[in-house]
Amino acid sequence: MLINFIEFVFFFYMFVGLYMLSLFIIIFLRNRKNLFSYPEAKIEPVSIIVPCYNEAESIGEAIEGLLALDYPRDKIEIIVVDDMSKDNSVEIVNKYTKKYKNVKLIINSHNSGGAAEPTNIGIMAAKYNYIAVADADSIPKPDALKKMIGFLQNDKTVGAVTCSVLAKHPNNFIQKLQAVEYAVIAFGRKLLDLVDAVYVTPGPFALYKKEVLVEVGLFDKKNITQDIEIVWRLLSRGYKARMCLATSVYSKTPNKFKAWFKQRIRWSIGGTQTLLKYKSQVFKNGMLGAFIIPFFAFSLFLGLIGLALFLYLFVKRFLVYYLLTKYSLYAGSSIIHMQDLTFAPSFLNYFGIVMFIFGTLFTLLSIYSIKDRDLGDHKFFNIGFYMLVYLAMYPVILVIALYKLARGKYTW
Amino acid sequence: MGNNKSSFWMALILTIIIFAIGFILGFFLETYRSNSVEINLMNSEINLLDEQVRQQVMGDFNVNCLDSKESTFNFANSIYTDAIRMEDYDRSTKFSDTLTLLHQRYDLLRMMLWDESVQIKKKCKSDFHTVVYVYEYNSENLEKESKQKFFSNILLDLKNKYPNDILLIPMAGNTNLVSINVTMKSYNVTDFPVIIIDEKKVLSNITTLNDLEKEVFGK
Repeated sequence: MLINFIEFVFFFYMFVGLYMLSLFIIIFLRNRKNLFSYPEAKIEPVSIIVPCYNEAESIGEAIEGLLALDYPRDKIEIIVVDDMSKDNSVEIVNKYTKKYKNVKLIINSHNSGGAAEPTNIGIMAAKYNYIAVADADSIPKPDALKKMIGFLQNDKTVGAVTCSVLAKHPNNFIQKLQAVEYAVIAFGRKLLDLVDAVYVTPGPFALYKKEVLVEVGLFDKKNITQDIEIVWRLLSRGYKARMCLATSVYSKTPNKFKAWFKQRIRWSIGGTQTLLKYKSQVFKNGMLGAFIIPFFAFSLFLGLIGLALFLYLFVKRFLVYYLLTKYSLYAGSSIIHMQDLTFAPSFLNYFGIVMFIFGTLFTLLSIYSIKDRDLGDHKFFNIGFYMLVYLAMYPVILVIALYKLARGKYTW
Repeated sequence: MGNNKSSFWMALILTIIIFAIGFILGFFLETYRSNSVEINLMNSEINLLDEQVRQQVMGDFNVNCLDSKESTFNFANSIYTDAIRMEDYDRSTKFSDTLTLLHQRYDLLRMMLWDESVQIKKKCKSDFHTVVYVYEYNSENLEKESKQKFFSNILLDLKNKYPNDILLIPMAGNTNLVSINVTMKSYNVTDFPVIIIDEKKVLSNITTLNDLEKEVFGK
């Protein structure tokens, strides 16, 4: 065998990547008929906590969305916890508190710089044992609570439930790409749910048991992706998190590259923070150590391996052709001949093709399984761009996130 | 859920099957390529033997020198094309060192071709120029790789410009063949790439195509 180190790394990359994709496709094929099922539920009161900081543009619409939930009004309390907003968020919320008895406002005594602290304040103030946490820029579908709460009621070991987080009104190109991404993530998360491996209950809308949250110590104020960390803590204490694909929450997505980039850096830093915090749990604590931590680590770092491989090969080729061009221009000779354009495929290309086919299959399955998604127009171009360009930016983001994390320069 | 746990094993088995198919396909692809290169090599060896017999005949019966030159050029062109194809295959070979062995046999053939060309020039007083390009096989040094590509391109430009005046013989100098090692030693060549022109001049640096032309044609 003449396989060198670089090719070994390539094989490792391909093997893990193909394994993950195969796993998702197999789980889908075995469960395709009950992906959208949810347990019977009885109506029990729910406190909905909405952490808010400078959300004047969207908080009103978010409260309207929560009031429009298909759930008895007297069984819901909405607690907005303002984190010392500088805009007129408080004024807007006050209009609702005056109009609706079940809408309450708590103003934090200082700006905490994150969502965890205001959420914890809201949880402690909540009257009911079921706690929904909602983002101030997201709107759940009216049936969200009814379809999600049964997961908590029917299994004592379930501490948290999430649903599909989909893009709200994707208008411009970057939002349409995020719409594709959100649909793929939602589908993937449901497949992970089927093997007890939900590793995040995203901020836009998630449901918890208050007693369980209190028992595990509420959301971690130091972690900037507290919605990932809380699930890992629940899992490490023997609880489960579930995913309801039958309902969705529509979340506002960044409409500018810079905002999108900043959000992704935050996600990557928070993810890495959580991974570092729970690294000692690897291969322990059931699915958390056996699958979630390795899967999460591979999801984060597999792209890094790909980026490193790509850069190594690219820089090597670039240097060779840079010097060749320099010599050739000086010599007045040809830079390239037809013979340089020949291509002899190797079995390494086969793995690349299989990976691409599986990746495409998974992306299309995701998009066409999530019925409520709104991808906007130019769907096929957006899907292609998402697969070939958008995903390729993940490792670059991770590199920058790791740099910021190492220097301690990050904020919520 | 318990039923879904077996998905982990199923995925592992599926991945292993996909990898096994890839390795088997790769093995067959390389075997097919090695066979095809070997058939070309055998044809070339027959051609060279034919040429050697022709030289003996020429000594005895005064066969036309022009025919001899033409056949040598054709032979050189043919193994040059084979060499390019082999370079492509070489880059994608992962399973066996068969192609490396075939490469050595081709280098030997080129060495013999070089020797044949010297004999023809002596016997027929031919006016063509033998340009032997000796490079490092599988070089990992980026600067050397660039230089070799540059040498290869500039020599091809020269060959395309003077197709009937230049016999271009590229060969690897580091494939551990005694005949090539001894020859390189006789020219005091210790590093590659080098260009040996008409068994007299050894160039390890080229600046321009014009300079190269001057070195070859002495203009």
